[in-house]
Amino acid sequence: MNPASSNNHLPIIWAETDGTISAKFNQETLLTHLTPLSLFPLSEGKKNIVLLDQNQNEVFLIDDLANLEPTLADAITVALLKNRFILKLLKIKKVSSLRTPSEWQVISDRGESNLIFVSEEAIRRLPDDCALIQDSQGLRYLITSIRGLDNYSRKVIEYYI
Amino acid sequence: MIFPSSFQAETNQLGDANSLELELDLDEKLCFAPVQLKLIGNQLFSCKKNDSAANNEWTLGPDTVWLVSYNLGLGSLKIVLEEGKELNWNFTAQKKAQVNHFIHHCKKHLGVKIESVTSVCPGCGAMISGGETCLTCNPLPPAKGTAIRMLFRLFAYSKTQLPLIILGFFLTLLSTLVGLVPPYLTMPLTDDVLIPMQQGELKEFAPVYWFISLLAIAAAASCILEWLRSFFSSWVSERISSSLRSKTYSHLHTLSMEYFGSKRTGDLMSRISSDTNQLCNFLSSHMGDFAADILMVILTAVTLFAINPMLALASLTPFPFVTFLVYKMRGQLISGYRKGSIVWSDMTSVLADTIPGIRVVKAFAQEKREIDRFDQANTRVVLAHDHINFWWAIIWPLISFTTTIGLLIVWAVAARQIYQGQITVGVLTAFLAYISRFYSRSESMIRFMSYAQRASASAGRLFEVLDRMPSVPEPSRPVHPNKLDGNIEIRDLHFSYGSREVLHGINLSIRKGEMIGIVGPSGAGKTTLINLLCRFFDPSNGSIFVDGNDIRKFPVAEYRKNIGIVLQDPFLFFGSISDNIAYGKPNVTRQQVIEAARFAKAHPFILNLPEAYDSLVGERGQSLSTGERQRVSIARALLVDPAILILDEATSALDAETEKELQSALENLILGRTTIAIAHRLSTLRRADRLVVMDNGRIVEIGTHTELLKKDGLYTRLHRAQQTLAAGYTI
Repeated sequence: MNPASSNNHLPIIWAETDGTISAKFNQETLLTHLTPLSLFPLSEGKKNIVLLDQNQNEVFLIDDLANLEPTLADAITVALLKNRFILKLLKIKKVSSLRTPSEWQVISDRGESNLIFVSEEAIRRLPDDCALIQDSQGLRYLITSIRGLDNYSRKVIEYYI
Repeated sequence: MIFPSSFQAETNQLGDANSLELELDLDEKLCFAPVQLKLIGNQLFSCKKNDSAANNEWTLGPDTVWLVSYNLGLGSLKIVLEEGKELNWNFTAQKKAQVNHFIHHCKKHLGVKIESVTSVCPGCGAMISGGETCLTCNPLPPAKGTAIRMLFRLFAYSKTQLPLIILGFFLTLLSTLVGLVPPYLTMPLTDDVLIPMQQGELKEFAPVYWFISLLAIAAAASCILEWLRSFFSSWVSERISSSLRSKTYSHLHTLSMEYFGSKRTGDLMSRISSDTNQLCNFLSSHMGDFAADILMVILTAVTLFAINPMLALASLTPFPFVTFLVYKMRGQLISGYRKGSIVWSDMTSVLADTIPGIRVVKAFAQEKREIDRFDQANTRVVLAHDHINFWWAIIWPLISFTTTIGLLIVWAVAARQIYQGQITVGVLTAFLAYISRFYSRSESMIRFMSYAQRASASAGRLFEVLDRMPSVPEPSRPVHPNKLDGNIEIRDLHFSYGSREVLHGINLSIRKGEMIGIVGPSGAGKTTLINLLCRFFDPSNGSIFVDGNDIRKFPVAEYRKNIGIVLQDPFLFFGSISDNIAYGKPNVTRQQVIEAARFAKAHPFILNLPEAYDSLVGERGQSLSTGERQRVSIARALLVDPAILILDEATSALDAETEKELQSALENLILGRTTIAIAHRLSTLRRADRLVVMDNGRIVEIGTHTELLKKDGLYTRLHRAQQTLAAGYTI
């Protein structure tokens, strides 16, 4: 199933009380402070998640978060978010100008914020009607369906791509 | 910001002098919500808006550890208390400046000793030498104006051509006036000659010749004036667009490697070539036509009113409708043209992408895939143009319909006036002639609007390049390096690509004339370090000193003259071998070129080329092997005689035998220079005085080969791995 665990014993993985993730291999090797990393953060964030140890070595590959027990899955989701912070853009309220750089007021799944849109390279078309915007500070906003946006937001996005 | 009342009271008692505050923008679930941190005395308070329960306080001291890290735009602040407890907050990188400022002052406040820095960037807190703005956070320039303003900016590039522009304008005025003569002549021709002739009142034919020759003269004069006008305006616009092209290209050269990394070559090429061409067309024909049109419309209107105000008013009735239509389609056209040029550059990007990579395409038999990709881009071009054409197609018949209605109104009003004996047939003839001009001119003014939109989109794309601030700025108070000695001191160097930090605090000092070998696994930050040393980028934090001066104090070009680089894949420009050798110093004598080639051991193979030193190399030129090209690039570096020499995997593309041959060439180059060599093959670094082992953006070991082997660390592992590999090959 997974090359990292060459023997066929699956590790026991659990979330500590402080939210960090630990794993035990073969009942003896204990690894703490594991960082999860999604291998396809844009196209399929909940599947193919790798756990890395503190030296950034892969220790285990999780096929699907849905197969894990909920508390662990939640802990991994939170940790994933801290590792690869991607906001889901839901609506563009207002852009200061169509000429770049401009300031956009947006609503994402994490609330309302302002982003500074540097130039048209900051927006990238992804397959399946998705797009990714990177603001001046490197913060990323993912649009999961351009067609699903309201008129104004869609017009702004389509102006650049 | 609303504070819970208890919190507010507390802060008020202490006053501002003793307290420091910071507002973060993310809560613990990483949602946007203001979170307040406040340091009062040595107590740290944290509170969330509208949530007094979340109030917390901790005691800090001078031994408190403050850690800030960034990961793709997400910042995290970690405070480790003296008893070992860890506190965590998150914020977006937009708060970088405030966070740095807060920590800086908190540390000061808590009595932590802060190393003195020349100056701190107000944007991100990075240390910079005084008086310069920080590169990573140039403040957001104000958004640039509208389409019209974009076109006005063009005229800033045409100042030198001002006398010719004025001359062109006068020619336009003259040719417009001459153009008004013929319809005016038809009035007396009809009323005083043709109608009396028809009614048998006029017996001689001579006046007809008179009028016809006058008309012919007017036509000839208008032809000559028109010719002069369009010649002058294209002459001027050719110069304006050429100066724009040169300005953009030379501006490109001031931009850092970072910019080129993020831009597609095809896009940049189309900005400089096709967008400037677009502007040239606009300025030469459309701009002049438009000026002529405006004059013509105004003068015609004046003439019409002078002849008969009532009829003139009737002929103007379609105008409000036309204006309304034009206004309606304006937005559609703006976005249409913009989209058009974006998809066009997408299409050229496919070309720029696949043509250089043609070997890979062929090797993997993906021609069909690439053709499909191009076809897709091509289809998008067609769709974008269809959109524009649709609007044009719909607007045009509408406009001609309204103008025809206008014409009918004129006929009706005129017929009534003729019936009542108020005007003559001649007046009507002249009127109709004027009106057809009037309408055709106003139609061409509408066309102009579309050209203007398109030109403005092109101008916008050009100004986008021109407005980009160089991210490696020239110092405001430069220190001229002249000939450097080559003592290098790297202090606490940090660097991030975007928000991914790849160098985490490098400290290294290199003596003049020393040879340093940098080894480490791929991705350890070796090449980044070199790029910073060459000032292709500027560090996000920390600095590099050469001969005691921060390299940011040197003018970029003067500093780089002191650096010679030999890269893994030496790039030769199209030109002769001797031009390529003399690339860094074009004014050297032929003898110097030959001497450099001899030192670089390039002389023998150059002799065997068909035209020796005059042989053409580079794209479309003689093909040389990697080893031969490498020798040319060593000769190139030798000729510059740099104080600092950088070898970035200079020999790794070569087979062992060629490398051995090159070794003596390299040794000639290294002699007496501060040399920094990156190599994967540890054997190439035998001559190095010290080896620096890097891993994950940090220096992990420094020492000579033997010292490092004794340490039994990363270097030993690398060394062992290579020996095993080498042994494996011999079996």
